[in-house]
Amino acid sequence: MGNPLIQLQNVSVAINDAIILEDVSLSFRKGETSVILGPSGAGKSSILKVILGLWKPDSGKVLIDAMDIVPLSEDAMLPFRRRMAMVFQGNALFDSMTVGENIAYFLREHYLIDENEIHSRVEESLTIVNLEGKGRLYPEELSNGMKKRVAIARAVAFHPEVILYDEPTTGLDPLNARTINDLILKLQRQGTTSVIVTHLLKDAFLVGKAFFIIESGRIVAAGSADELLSSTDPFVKEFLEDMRQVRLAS
Amino acid sequence: MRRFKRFLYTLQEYSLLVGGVFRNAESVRYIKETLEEMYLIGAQSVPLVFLGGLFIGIILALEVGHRFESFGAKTMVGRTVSLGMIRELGPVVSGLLLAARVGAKNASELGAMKLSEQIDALRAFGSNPVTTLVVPRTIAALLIFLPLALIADMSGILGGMTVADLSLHIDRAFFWNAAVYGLQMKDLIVGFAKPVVFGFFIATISCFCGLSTSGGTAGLGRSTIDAVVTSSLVVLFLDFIFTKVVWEIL
Repeated sequence: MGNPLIQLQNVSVAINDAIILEDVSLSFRKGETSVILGPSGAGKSSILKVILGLWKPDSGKVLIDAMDIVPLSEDAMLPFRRRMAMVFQGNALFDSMTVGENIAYFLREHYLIDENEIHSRVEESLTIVNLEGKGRLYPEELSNGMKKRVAIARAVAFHPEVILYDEPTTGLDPLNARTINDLILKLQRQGTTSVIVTHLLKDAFLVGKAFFIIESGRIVAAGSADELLSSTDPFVKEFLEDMRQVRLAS
Repeated sequence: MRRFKRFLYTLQEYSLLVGGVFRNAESVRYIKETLEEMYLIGAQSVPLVFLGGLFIGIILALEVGHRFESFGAKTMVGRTVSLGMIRELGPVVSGLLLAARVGAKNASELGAMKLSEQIDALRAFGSNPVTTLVVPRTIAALLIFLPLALIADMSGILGGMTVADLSLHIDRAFFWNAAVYGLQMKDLIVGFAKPVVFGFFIATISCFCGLSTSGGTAGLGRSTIDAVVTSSLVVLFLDFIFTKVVWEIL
């Protein structure tokens, strides 16, 4: 079991008087795949945005390797953002760029490696997501499943320590969902720390090791799959009912 | 009171964006993007400003020509048209046309990027959206609005000259001499400074509206309308300030 790489301590976020996160405390360990479960609108994606520094909490601390990133400016956040990548729910591919340019974006933007190496890194990332030879296409020419895979290729291209996934399999057909889950497991085996936000229980229990359940901006349960499935909390029981039935049936 | 507070907040946010533009203005990394913007807002706007200037010049020559004819001052038409086009109508008409074209383009592009989380993705990848998106658009507008206004000026004067010849029977050479020699240095300074200032405000206001987009496609429509309306009003307000203040100083 690794040390906590990312910690949220008593984080609260409100937007226009609406409470998004309330006194949230979580920690994600190095090399582990953690899953944040919860119904739509519970505040799951907000946690990822707070971790990346895209949203500043109104109170609380966000520690990365014990360093609080909340007071940091955008420029000062850069060393932390270089260690993390995010796969956005809607993919957020830059639609004015080709697939290859999307994947190379971070590397080019920060002059991390030369053009030849960028080219081979793009090809390597496309191979990981089974999209060899698609680098010249534009995002609008791709299906939803392919876009999601490109988003993952863009995330892995610069070899980040942490990948944040926002609903990685939502809206995908079973085959594409399985491909994405396989990719997440592959990266997990390579030691990448993953934080996954989803409401799809089957996918969550397939890839996750540590789980958190959030409801109305508050963490209501945390633990391993077995701990959550044996929880007596009424909301947790109801939320995980389908999964409990699957377990019982098998 | 609440509206006033919101107005002040918006003004503060806009000022911060303008501050960001000045802080990052020396960034020459995005030269390709700047050239692309110059082509999109420049080369593609030539027919628009040419026709806009042409019709305004024709109308101006007809209106003042018939008025002046009644008290025997027809020879003043050339001077009036050139002064009107260079000092006022060329910059203002091109400014209003470009406020609509460039304002709508910037606001809808950046608004769509905001809604599809591309702006968040830029920040997540360590890029400053002001540097990558706003600065190239602002520099392009600063460089391209003056040539466009000059096209409007020239097409207006040539249109006025043609109508003066055909309708008012004023010799073209006489019209041209009156048009050119009637101008003073301060007329040229005012006429050439206005488009540059208009370009700066149209670019930054429309980018600000785009980056502030929220509320889905309806919100995108609202921010595009805000960009066009606010930019147009600011063009007219700045024109008044120029005319009043600069006329008194020079």
